[in-house]
Amino acid sequence: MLFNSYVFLFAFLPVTYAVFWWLRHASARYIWLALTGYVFYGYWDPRFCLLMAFTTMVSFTAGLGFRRYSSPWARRLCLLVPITLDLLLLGFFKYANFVLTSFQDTAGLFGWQAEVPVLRVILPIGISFYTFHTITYIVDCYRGVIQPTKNIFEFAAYVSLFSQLVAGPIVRFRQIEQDLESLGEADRTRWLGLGIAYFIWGLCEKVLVADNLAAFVDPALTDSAALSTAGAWLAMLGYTFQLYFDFCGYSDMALGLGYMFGLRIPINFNSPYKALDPSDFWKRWHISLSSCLRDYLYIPLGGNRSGEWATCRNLLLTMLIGGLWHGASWTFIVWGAYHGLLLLAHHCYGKLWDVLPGLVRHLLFFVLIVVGWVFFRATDFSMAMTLLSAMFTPTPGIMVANLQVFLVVLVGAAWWATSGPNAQTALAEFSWKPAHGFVCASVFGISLAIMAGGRNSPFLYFQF
Amino acid sequence: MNTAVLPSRAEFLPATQACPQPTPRPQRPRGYRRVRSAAYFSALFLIAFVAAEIGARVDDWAHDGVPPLANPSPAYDLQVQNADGIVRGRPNGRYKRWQLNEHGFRSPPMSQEPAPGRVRVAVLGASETFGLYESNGAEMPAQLARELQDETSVEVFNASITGMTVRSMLPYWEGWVSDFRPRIVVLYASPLFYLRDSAIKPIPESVAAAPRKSEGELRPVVAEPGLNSRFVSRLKDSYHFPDWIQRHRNRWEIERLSQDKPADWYYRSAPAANLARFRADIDALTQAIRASGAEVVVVTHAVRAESPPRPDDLDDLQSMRTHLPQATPETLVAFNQEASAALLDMCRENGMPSLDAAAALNGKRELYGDLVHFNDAGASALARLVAERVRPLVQETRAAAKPSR
Repeated sequence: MLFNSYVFLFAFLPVTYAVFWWLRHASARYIWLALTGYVFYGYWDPRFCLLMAFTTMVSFTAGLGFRRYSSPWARRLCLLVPITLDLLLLGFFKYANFVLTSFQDTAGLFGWQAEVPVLRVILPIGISFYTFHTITYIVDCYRGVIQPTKNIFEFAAYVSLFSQLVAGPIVRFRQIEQDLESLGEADRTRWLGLGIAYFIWGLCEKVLVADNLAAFVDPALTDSAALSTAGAWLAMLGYTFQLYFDFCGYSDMALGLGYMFGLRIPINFNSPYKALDPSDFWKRWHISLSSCLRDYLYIPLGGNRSGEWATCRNLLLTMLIGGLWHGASWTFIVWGAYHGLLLLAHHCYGKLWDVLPGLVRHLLFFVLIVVGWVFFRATDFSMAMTLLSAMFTPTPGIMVANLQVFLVVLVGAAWWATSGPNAQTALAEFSWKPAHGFVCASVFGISLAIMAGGRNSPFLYFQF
Repeated sequence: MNTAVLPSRAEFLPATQACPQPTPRPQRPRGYRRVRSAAYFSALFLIAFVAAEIGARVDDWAHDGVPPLANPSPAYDLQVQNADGIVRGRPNGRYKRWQLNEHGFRSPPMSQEPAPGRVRVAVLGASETFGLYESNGAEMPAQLARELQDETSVEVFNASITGMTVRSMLPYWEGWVSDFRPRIVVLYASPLFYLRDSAIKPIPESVAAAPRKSEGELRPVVAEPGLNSRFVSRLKDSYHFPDWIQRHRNRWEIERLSQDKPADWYYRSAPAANLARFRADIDALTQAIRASGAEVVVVTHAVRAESPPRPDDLDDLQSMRTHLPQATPETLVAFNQEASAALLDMCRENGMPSLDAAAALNGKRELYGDLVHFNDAGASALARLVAERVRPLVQETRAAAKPSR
C-alpha cells in the first residue's frame, strides 16, 4: 500500500485514525497500531508479515534477556544472536543471489564455468528498514541507552509502525519511546494540523514534482544509449531532483502521519542540495540512515579517534556498507565508494575546498552529486558508462521528450530543492487556521488528479 | 559505555515540536458549530474537486496535448463508422497518447496510393496489434516497420482497431483497408472472441449482403460526449486492486455472470461449433484479401498462459473469464491452442504463408501486460518473428512486381 494510493488515503488512513483515537488505553492503541502495521505491510504480500513477526519476536525476546541477565556473556549473547539472525535474513532475502551471481562471474573471469543456481527469492519490501529498526533497538539495549520494553505490543507497534515501516525514516526506539509511552494520554488535536500540513507537503513533493519528473526521466533513461550530451545531463538532472523529492516527500508524509497519531518522528532530509561539501551533504541527506551508520558502524569501528589512516579506512568502509545497504548490486557499491572517496578527499583537503566561494562550492559539489547518481540509477555498469560517456564527451542523440514542459518542471524543482524552503523550515511556526484547510484541499485535489493519471510511480526507496 | 558520542534526541526532531496549543475560543451553540463545520467541510470538498478537475486538465494538456476544454472519449475520439456501419479509425483521431493519422490508422502520415515500387504491408488485428500497454512507437506494427527498414521501399501501416473481431474485419477490409493497396497483410486475429454463444450465430443476410463501398458522411460510433469530469474518468481508469483482492473480485464477477446458468452453459472443452465458425470467418476474410491480389500471412494468437495452464496463469485466465464467463480456464487455453492448429491447417490447405507465434511466445510471461496484450518486449519479439516471415515475401512480391489489385 502506497501513501499516494486511494486505498491508503480513503480507506486505511481514515479507519486507522478513527479507531486509534476512539481507543483510550495505551495498550489498546499499541495493539491497534501493530495490527494496522501488519495490514499495511501484508497488503503487498501477506507472507511477508511472518518474517516481520519473527524478527519482532526475536528482538523483543533479546530485550527481555537484557532486562533479566546482567552477566557480560549473557548480554553479549542477547546482542549477537538476534543481530546475526536479522542479518542472516537480510542477507538471504536481499543479497543471496547477488553473492551467487558475483561468485559465478568471478569464477568465469578465471576460466571456471561455475553453475550457480539462482534462488527464486522475493525481496520483502522494506526489509532493510525494519531490520535496522530492530538492530538499533538491540544495540541500544546492550549499550544501556534505553531500558528494553516489557510490553510486546509497544515493541510490535514500534517495529510495524506503518508510517515508517517500508521506506523509513529509520526511527530508533529511543527517539519515539517517550511518545509511545505516553500514547494513552496523547491529545488528538495537538498535532493534527501540523500532521496534515506535513503530509500534504510531502504529497505535493512526491506527486506534483517527483512523479511529474519521472514521466520524462524514466523513458529517457530507459533508452539511455540514444541520449545526446544535453539529453543525458537533463535526464540525470531530472533524476537528481526526482530522487530527492520522491524520498523527501515520503519522509515528510511519514512525519505528518506520525504527528496525526501523536508520535514525533525525526526528520530525514534537510535540503541536501544546499550542501557545500560531502560532509555537509551527509548531514542533510537521509539523516536517519547516515546517523545510524555513524553511531552503529563508523564510531564502533573507531571513528576518527585512531589516526588518519584508520579514519580514512572507517569512512570508506562505512560508505561502502551504506552503498550496499541500498541494493544488492555492484553499482550501489561503487556509488558508496564514490561518496566515501568524496568524504575522504574533503577530510584531507577540506581547507583548500573551503577557500572557494560558496556559490562555486555549491555548483561544483552539486555536479559531483549528479555524477554519483549515475551509478545509483544505472541498472548495470554498461548503462553507467554509457551515461557518463554521453555526459562528458560530445555525443549526438536524442533529447528528453516534451522538452519544454520538462524544462518548466525541472527549473521549478531545481529552485525548490536548492533555494526554496523545506518542510521543517516552512512549518516551523505553523499553527493551523481554517484557511490552511483550503490550501491543503487544493493541493490534495491536484495531487489526486495527477495520481489518477496513471503516472504515479512507487516510491524509489521501497526497493531498498 | 560511551554515550556522549550519541546524538541527543533534539538533534533528530524538527523545530516544530514546540507547536503552540490553540487558544481556547468562546463556546457557541452546538447547532451553530455543526452548521459551520458542515459548511467548512463542504467547501473543502468542493475546492478539492475543482482543483482536481483543473489539475487533470492541465496535466492532460502538458503531457498529452489534450486541449483543457475538450471532453475526450476513446470510442468517440478514435473510431468512426461509415453509412454502412463499417467501423474504422477516426481520421487524425487522438485520445491521450494514442494518435491516428489522416486515414485513421495508428501509423505515420501516408498517402492512399503507395509510392511506385513500394511494397505496402498492413497489419490487421484488434487491440493486441493496435497497441495497449506498449509505449508510443513500441506497438508491434511500428516495431515491424523498424525491423523491415533495411528492406528498401517497404511501408508498414497499422490497420488494427481495438475490439475488432474477425467478422467485423471482413467489411472493414473490403470497405476501407483494401483501398490502401497493401501487397502483404499480416493477420493477427484473436479466437477468444468466439468463446461466446453469440459468436456462432450466422451473420444476418441483410448485413452479409450490404454494400461495402458506399460513400457518405462518417458518423461517430458513440454519441459525442458531453461535459464530463476528467478527474472522475481518470479515477475510473486508474484504480487497480492488489492481486489478491483482484482475485476475489474476479471470482465474484464470474459468479455473478454465471449465476442461474445450467451446467451445460459452460464450455468445458474447446467447443467445436465455435472453432468451426472462427475458421470459416478467417477463411472468408483471407479469401477476400487474396482476391484483391494481396498475400496474407496468418499469425496464430499468442497468450501469456500455457496449455494446460500453470498455477501462475490462473489469475490472467480468471480475469479473461470476467469477459468470457462460459469458458473455464482450461478451455480458454485449449481453445486458443486448437484455433492455432486450425489456422495452420487452413494455411497448409490453401497454400497461404503462416507464422506460429503461439508456439514461439505462449507462456512467456515477461512479454505480456495481461493474458493477450503485449508489453514493449513482447511486441518486439512478435515484430521480429513477423519480420522474418515477411521479408522473403517482400522480396518475392518485388520480384514478381505484380499489381496489387
